[in-house]
Amino acid sequence: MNSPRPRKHDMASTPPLVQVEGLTHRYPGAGVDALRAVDFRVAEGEVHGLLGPNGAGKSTLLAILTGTLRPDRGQVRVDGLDPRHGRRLRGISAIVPQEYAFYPALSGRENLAFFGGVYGLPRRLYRERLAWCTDICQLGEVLERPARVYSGGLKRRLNLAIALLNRPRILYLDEPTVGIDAHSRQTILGAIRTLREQGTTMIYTSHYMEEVEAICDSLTVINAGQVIASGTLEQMLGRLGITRLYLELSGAADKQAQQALATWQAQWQAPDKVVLEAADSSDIVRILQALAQHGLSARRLRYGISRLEAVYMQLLEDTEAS
Amino acid sequence: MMGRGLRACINKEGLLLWRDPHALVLLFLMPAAFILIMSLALQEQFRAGEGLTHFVWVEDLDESEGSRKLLAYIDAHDSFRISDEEPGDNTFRLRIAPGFGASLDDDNARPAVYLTPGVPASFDGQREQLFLGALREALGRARIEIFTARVAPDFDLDLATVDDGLEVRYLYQRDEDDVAPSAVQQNVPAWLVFGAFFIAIPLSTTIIRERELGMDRRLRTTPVFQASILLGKLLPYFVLNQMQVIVMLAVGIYAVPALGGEALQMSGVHSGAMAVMAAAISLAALGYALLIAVICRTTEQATLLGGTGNILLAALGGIMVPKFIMPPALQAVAEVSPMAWGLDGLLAALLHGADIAGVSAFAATLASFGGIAILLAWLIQRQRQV
Repeated sequence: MNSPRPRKHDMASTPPLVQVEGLTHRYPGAGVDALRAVDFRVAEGEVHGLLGPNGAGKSTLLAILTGTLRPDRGQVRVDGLDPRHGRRLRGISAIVPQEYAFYPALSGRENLAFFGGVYGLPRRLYRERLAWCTDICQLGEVLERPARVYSGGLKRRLNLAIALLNRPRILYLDEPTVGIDAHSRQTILGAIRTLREQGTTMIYTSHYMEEVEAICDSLTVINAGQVIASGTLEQMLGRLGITRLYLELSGAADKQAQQALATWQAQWQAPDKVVLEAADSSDIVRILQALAQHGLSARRLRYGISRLEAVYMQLLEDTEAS
Repeated sequence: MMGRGLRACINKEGLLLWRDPHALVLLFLMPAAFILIMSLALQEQFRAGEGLTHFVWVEDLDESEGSRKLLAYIDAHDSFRISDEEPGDNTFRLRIAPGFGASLDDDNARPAVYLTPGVPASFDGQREQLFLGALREALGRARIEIFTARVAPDFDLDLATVDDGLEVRYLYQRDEDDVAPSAVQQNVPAWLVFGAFFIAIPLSTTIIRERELGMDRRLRTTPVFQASILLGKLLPYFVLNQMQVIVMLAVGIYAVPALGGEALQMSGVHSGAMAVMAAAISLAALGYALLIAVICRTTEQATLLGGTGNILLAALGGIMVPKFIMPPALQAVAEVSPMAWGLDGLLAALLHGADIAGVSAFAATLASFGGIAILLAWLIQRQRQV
């Protein structure tokens, strides 16, 4: 049904599926622009993360991309069409909104049946899609229960399943894992990975940096309605030019040990706590070997888990400072 | 797509309605209860206007020729009947004291009768005065008859058949439509219209709840036609309104008489005219509900505005107080209420047997109101969405 996922190095040459240029919007009565001259592109098959603090303009951007809000200025093209006038486009896209956008009084199955009808699915195709999306979102056992009794995690999964029923070529996800338990979060991330492998283009907003880092190919960071950084995940992570390694040592490092680690731009937070710049895993091995030569080992090591968070925070700080 | 989308929207709305017992109670039980209570409670009030007959229960302690004559004349009166049955709320109770007959033939005596144990409190002063007038007239006739029998025993006098010599000529032409309804004829259509407009509460709150849930935004990202969403929401409520009409008429026909009231008569009523009026009332109610849904931000606001708005429209429109007993100035004001248009149209069909042409003006006004309200709601909503 979907074309195979393009390899990452092909993406640059793939014509953009989503193209946003000079997008500006101000809500009636507001003193400032919700979006100001926003540009970005998303290639077919790409998972694009949209990052920014609360109120940055992410939801406004998604509303414009899905055609529910008309921008004041700028151009938006999704698969070459203006989202506001693209009924065909609505047939190949879907949104997982931040809200639980389904009927609490209806069961999971009744909600899905309603959206099957709304998407115009013939009966047989609907049954196939129902089986697929309930399987991928692990909803099978709770389908007959009223949605109002679902846990937060199940509600998020039903929210996703409803969007998947349309088997969209482009899927907009607005914080799809916010406020849920680890199991439901993993289920949703697993579903997103499956869609990624099947070549679904996704635009994904989240405040969980490790999620974004794990599933996104490219990122746009917006703050106060403006794009402050955009690029591939590698480009974004390379913005700080380093990869940080946080170490808690087995004991206090002496002068020689501190000199031995100076090669990796060591910043000592305490005699037994240091932040180093390790470009890759071979650097980490060399650091651990140097520690061992001075009778030390790593009691706790943290590397890469919050790399994106560090970049993100740095970007926001830079913007605030400027 | 239109077909599948519309079907899905109708099914969904039907399920949501079915699972909302509070709305069903509000839409069916409330107007039915009003019909029963008001039809039974106001039965006598409405009858008074059409020349109600009152019963007189008599305790004759005299049992004389004079007392028998008095009772015969009371019984001959248009508004009173002597009854042997146990006195009810609508019955005068009359006690004739011993010696009453003898006193009729005695110029110096004052014949005594007693209203006992008292005129019921529910009787108004006018009816009491009417009864006392009838009593005096009967007493006078009995006296004349007894006096005549005494002074001219051979003279055959029957005052019951004597023409009173009064000829009544009406100075105005009575309008054919100027017929006051009975309690059930007034209350069934009145509370039916009131109940139909009450869909404003569940319909508007459903729409607002969808807005709060983000359903409307989500649906706008799907390929379904906006018209399907709107129709899918309105059609189930339209059907619900038609079911209300059937149930409320059934309450008037079967339930009111079962509880001792007068049955709603449907013979001679044009079913096509009733169907047209039912459809037009529903269209007006749907438009009103949509307007409330777009004006109000929260379900609480919609419930408050829908409820108080309905009560105001009902008070103005002759639902709670019949228009024909309002002062002329207020009757003119009543014409602004869509409920008055609905009630007048239904009364035309129920009281005067109006056909489709006869109710078309009422139906057209209601349909125009509904159409304009839907258009306004759509424009406001569109303005908000940009």
